[in-house]
Amino acid sequence: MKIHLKIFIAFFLIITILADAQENSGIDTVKINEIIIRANPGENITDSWKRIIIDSGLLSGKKILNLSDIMAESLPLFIKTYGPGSLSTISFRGTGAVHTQVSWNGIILNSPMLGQTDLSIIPAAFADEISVECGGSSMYRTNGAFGGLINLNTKPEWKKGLRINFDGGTGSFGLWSASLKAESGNNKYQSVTRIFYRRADNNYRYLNAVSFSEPVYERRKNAGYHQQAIMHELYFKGNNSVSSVSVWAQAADRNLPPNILMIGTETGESQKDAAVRAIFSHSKYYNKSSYDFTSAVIFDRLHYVNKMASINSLNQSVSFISKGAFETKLNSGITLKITLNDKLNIVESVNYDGLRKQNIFSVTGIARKNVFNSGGITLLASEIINGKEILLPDFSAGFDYYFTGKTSKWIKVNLSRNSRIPSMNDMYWNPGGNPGIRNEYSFAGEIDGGIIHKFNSDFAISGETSFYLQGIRDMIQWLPGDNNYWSPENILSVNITGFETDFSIIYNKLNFKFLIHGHYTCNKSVYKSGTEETDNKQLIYVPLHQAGGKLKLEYNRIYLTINGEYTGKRFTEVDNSKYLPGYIIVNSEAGINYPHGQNNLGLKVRVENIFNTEYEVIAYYPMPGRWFMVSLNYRFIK
Amino acid sequence: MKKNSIIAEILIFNLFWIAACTRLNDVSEPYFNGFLNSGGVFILNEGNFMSGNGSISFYSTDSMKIYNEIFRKTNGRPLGDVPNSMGIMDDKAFIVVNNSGKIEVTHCCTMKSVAVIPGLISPRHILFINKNKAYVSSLYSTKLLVINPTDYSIVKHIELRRTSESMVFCRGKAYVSCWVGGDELMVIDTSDDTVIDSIKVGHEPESMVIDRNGNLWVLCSGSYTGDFYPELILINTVTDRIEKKFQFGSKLMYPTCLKIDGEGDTLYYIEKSIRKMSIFSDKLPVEPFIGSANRNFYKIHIEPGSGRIFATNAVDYQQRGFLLIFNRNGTVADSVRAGIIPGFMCYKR
Repeated sequence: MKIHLKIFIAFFLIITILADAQENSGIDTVKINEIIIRANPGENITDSWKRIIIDSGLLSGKKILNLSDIMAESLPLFIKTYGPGSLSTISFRGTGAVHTQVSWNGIILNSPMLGQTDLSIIPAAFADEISVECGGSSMYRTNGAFGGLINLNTKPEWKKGLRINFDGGTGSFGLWSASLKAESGNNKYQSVTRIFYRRADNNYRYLNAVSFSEPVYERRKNAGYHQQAIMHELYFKGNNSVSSVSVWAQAADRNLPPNILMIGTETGESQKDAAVRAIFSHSKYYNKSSYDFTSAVIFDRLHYVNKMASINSLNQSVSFISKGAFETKLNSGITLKITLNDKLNIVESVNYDGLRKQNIFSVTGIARKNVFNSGGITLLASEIINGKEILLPDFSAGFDYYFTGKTSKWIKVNLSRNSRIPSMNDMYWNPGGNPGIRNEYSFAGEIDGGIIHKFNSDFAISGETSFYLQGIRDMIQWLPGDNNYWSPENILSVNITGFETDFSIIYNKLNFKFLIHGHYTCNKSVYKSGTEETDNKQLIYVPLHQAGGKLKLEYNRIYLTINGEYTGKRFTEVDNSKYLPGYIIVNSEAGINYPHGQNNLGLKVRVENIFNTEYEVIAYYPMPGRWFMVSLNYRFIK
Repeated sequence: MKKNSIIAEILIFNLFWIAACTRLNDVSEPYFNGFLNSGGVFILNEGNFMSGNGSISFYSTDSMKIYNEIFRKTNGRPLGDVPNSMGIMDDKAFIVVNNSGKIEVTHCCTMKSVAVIPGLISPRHILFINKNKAYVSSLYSTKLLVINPTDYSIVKHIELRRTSESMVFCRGKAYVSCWVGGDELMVIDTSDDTVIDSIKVGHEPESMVIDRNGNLWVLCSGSYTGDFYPELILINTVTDRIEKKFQFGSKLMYPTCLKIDGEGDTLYYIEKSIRKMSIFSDKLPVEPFIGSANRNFYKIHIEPGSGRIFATNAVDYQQRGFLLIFNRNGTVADSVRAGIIPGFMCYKR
């Protein structure tokens, strides 16, 4: 395995060297129709921090998938999943699931109870663009996202007429999935409706080499799921203003398979999730200033049942969010933005002692001054009030400089202090919740550099590399308390040293398109507390190495994509005495499009895990081997 | 264009070749477990719930060495999720693996797997009645399972209408405690497997022992929510009536793991520290016998004959815990590292 890893890394080095050897010409942005958009210098107030954008190019081909299916393929993060359709959370830049937040048009979706988001029930079709704010950049929108913030953005196209996009597909293990997006309106008004459906039996075959004296092939049981979602948005454009109302309702009904060490016993575990989210937003623009106001309400319901253990756990929460922001350009050339954010969470749970509330108010100020014509300095300060407790202020300071000319290059440096408010489970779970638990905090630093070469109008390469350090302190861990039940305490310290790099090579001439994209991530994320046995040991389920590559070829109406993702070994015990081996998963898809007037019909075949690799992301939860999917796309534009 | 095609070829070749080679065969080295021929104590390391990292260790009292992961090393597969208890009959060890819903039957002196009894609902403890009959308690099922430990078959079940935990055998009767949320002992006539009586005791009877007089001691932990007082209760097994009741001083106490020494006249249990009490005492011990000293005592076991106290320290329930051996007078004799959450211990002659 080590030899293969070396070859894999060597391959990427070769590609990088080849890319560096090319001649340069100046462009500031490469839109690959798939992965990366580089913002022009000074365009955004957050330019001093790294930001990654997955645009509609990639998302348009994945509308019948869930967010967890596409994230790992596109971004340098680790998706910790119990299997298709099961709980999937993110580890970004070596942090835990609660340290990455997910937002929808700026509204945080992380559960107030758990503090994390289940990506497996978020349809990819419900975002037109996904952006990732790395490290301190996330403080612009929220607190506590030590790893980063993933924004799901929906954007209207101010076009006249009707546009319909339907995707439907079927695949192995009883998979059926469909997605519909209908848009209509004109340059003043847009109505966008999205519908998503997905179901699967998930009865895939796997090799059980741990339960019996001889390995046996078994089929996954009690792993099926159904998922439905609908989103409707209305946008109104006035003179220098945009208003919108968005409503998103979804439901998921999932059976939860046990780990494969449980033999012959039906646990009858299942989970029903339901959510209704509504946002009203209004933005107004003036010559040198703008303001926007957002008000949102989020209702979440989680019903967990374990028939064997007679557990019937109903948990409901409602969150009311109000945000207001004002941005202006001062005469001194400083861009200033002030954001006020208030979030009231109310939870009713059989696991809490009565109704519980949590109110978090924050005020964030961010100022940017462009310097040296193509660079800038950005300062951010944020104050959080959790209930009646005023926390130590957070801050971030960044500097960016863009080298323009024949070749576009940039460098960004930033330092941040960030705080995470404990989840409501940490505070109010009965028994064991600790209302006196303190916030976690982190100090982080990042250096990011990138380069874009455009050889001619057909051929370009780009690359970006980041180094980062982060120390998380007062990290929360649940431990057995005096009365034999577990309780959270602020006892963990974690240090993270990381490195991530990616590159792209794009060739696009006449009817032929060619794309190579590669990425590599190294996250040394170690415990800095506890005993000798755990000190300096890698966090469990945080891979040290991850790498991936993608090749896309397109000629006329046909295309072929192959992508491979390597995930390094993940330790499963805190003393690093046991680990799950690394694995490489290669997927491929090929398709053809038939445009005809206002219509376009597409047919696609997708093969997942081509080499039928047996692997587990979480110990004793096997993932599917090779499987297939066929899908149809129909687009209509009037 | 040529350069691009070369790059593409390299990429495709690498991706296919690497992925094709990712299946590696584990080559297990031969494992010699001759140490199991000596006397000692098996330690069941529960591991973390749902993580499947439970294991079994063996502490050889001859060599004073601990051997960890002996099931996996012998059989090339993990023991399972939360091994909770074990019993030995003749040369077979019956390991009750709670969250794997099974009993692993192994040879006592080799740890080689002999059979698996699968499909059990959250099994907790095993009580041998005779060579052809054993009872298995359940955390979630109201049925007490009857198995045949000779052919490993499930014979029948006894409906208790309550879940079951600890079990002891005395005077032809099995006493079964109803632990989670319960406050009763069920009395079963083992000749025909019928429930003949129930005895109301304190809240959550967690562990039981039989003393030298053939009487039953029951440790009721109270409740973790602090709603009930813990109690230590003495029951006359002839009349099945309560003879003594000791109430602990606070509802916030949560005593567990009642054990008795080889002579059957000294009780031990954990209440943060390790407590010791004569069966003839008329009050609960005030002072700890062995102080916790920041240790997280989880289970204890008293070695017959020597009277040494084997105690496990679960540390933070994440990293590997310790097995501590104390002399009869409470001084430390040995300390060795076991597995994650070392729990139930079983003496092997």
